[in-house]
Amino acid sequence: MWRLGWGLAALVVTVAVLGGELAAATLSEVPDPAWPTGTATVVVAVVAGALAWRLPRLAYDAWRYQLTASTLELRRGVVVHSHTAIPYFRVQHIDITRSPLERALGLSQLVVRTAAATTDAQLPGIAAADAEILRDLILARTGRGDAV
Amino acid sequence: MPSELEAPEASEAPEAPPAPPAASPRRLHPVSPVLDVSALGRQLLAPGAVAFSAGGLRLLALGVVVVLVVRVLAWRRRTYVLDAAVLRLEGGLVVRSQQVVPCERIQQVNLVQKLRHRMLGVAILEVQTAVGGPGSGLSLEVLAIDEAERLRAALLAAKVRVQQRTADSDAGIMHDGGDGGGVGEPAHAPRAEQWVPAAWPVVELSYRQLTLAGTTGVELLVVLALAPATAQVAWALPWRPWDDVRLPALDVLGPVLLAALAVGFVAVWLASAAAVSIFANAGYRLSLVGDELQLSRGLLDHKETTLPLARVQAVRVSASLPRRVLGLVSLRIQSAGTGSNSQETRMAVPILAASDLGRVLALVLPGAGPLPELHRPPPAALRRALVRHVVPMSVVAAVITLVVWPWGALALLAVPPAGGLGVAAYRGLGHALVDGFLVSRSGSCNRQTVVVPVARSQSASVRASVWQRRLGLATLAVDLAGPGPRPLVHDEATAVAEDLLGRVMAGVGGPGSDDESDPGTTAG
Repeated sequence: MWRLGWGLAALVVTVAVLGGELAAATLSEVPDPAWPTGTATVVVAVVAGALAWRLPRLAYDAWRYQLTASTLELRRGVVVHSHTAIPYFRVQHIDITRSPLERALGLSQLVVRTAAATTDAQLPGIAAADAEILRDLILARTGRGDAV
Repeated sequence: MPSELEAPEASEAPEAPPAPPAASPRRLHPVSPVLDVSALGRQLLAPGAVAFSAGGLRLLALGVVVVLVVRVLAWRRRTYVLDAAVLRLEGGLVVRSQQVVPCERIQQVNLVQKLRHRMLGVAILEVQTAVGGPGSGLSLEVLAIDEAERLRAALLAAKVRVQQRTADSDAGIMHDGGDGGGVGEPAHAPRAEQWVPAAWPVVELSYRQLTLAGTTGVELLVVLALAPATAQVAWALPWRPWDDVRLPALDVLGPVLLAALAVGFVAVWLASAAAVSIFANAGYRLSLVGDELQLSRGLLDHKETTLPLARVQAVRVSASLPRRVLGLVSLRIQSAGTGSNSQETRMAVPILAASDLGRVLALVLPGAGPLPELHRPPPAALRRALVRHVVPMSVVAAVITLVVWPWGALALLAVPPAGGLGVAAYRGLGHALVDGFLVSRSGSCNRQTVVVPVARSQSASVRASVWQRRLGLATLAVDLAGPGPRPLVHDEATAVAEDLLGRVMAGVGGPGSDDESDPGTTAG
């Protein structure tokens, strides 16, 4: 159930490399650089690389979700820790999204929605097969099935 | 029978129809095609521009005639009907459309009368549902005022009937008063006089109170923001009295004149702020009719808003520094209903004596009493408040000092007041969870206290940034249906915040107490 984060990891790496390249491009615009143009790129690449290596692991370790008796609980965050609780019967609907990267890795993302627009409940990196089971599990607990 | 788009029987004398059976489709008031001026203006823009460039008055007249004919035809097509428990609006010349609102989904009903509507005895009836975004409700623009009031009463009565039928008996707060008149009614055409139960006044405001509200509230800032524009207009006037005031005695009278000018400016400033408040809220009356809050206000543009008590998501009490000194507060009621023009139809009490707050809260949120004693966050929160206020100010002051050396050092004088603000911000913090209501307060100068019925919350979360974790603090956020800021409990000890989260979740209850908005379960 805890397969998470490789999609996220790849994403962070891509973004970081892109950021490094962009930083290099902007820095090289400076007419009279005090140090060789390459320095900034190297620094950025090293920092980004380190972050890209470390962050996904941390994010993955920080990510937990739990189905309790009455609520769906999510814990996540490396810099900002966050613990969200959503009562099942407040769940309005659940989306399953799959980005190309996630598809390549056989993962899905579950997005749980309530009547509040501010509810932020995403469960990334769920194995595709598990995602539908999990969705049905949550929906079964919303009590909608036998309500009407 | 209402599924037929054409409504031949409605063509007879659309003006003031003498109460036909409610289930037959009706048209809007015949002045409708020309009264929504903004849309009319947009549509007249194209022919106007063509006529202007081609320079033909006849062309313009033709364009106007075409636009008017199209609008009249659209009006003829547009019908509405309240059929059993469903409000249906149909229309459209080329693309036929049908909007359906089940009565039990209604969040809020607004009756808006702008000045032009009042002169013609008509009103706009807005029906809002819980689903966010545009198109979530429908607007009947315009109806004769009698018809608008009848329809509003019928809608609300139908809503009560549907709720009675589904008989969710444990949602007691919804049915505890005033709906006895609506239950035994036949399914069609309930009359407003029969259904509307006695109105309990909640808040009524006199001109004196509105003046007070204007001169202590945001109106001051609004007027101040408009001042430069006014000054510019005055400058552009051909007549300039101040050009003639070149008296030799000016040197002597200068300070006096300046003082008089300043006093005059302040007087005009306060008077305009009071006027803004009075224009918006004259005749302010918030009353409890059955299980609905009704608000009517406005000097020129008259607005009536109806909000079922069960839709109230939170009440936000705010008190600026001057108001705190005077023992005054203002209230804002957060509801799940979303309006396109929420500014116009939001429920708020512009001014209220702090001593009266308990009574009003108890009426708006049944079960809530006066604000309880609040629990203070731990001393670590004081450290965080200080750091948050002092550090940015110190950085700014240091930069200014370095850039504009000797005089820039004066900026350092701003650091101690920032510290004072930090202390005030800490003193402003507090929370309590009693009788199913979460009360949370924050703010240094402008204190905001939000009262949330825990049972209406959708979800909640505890967040802690790196800085907060170093101090063992966390912030609780509660998610509510509908627009508006989310209630927060700032900087409480992590264990307390987690405990609050658990208690909020426990207070949400189960499907049985699901008495508020559930958009999307039946509405596709």
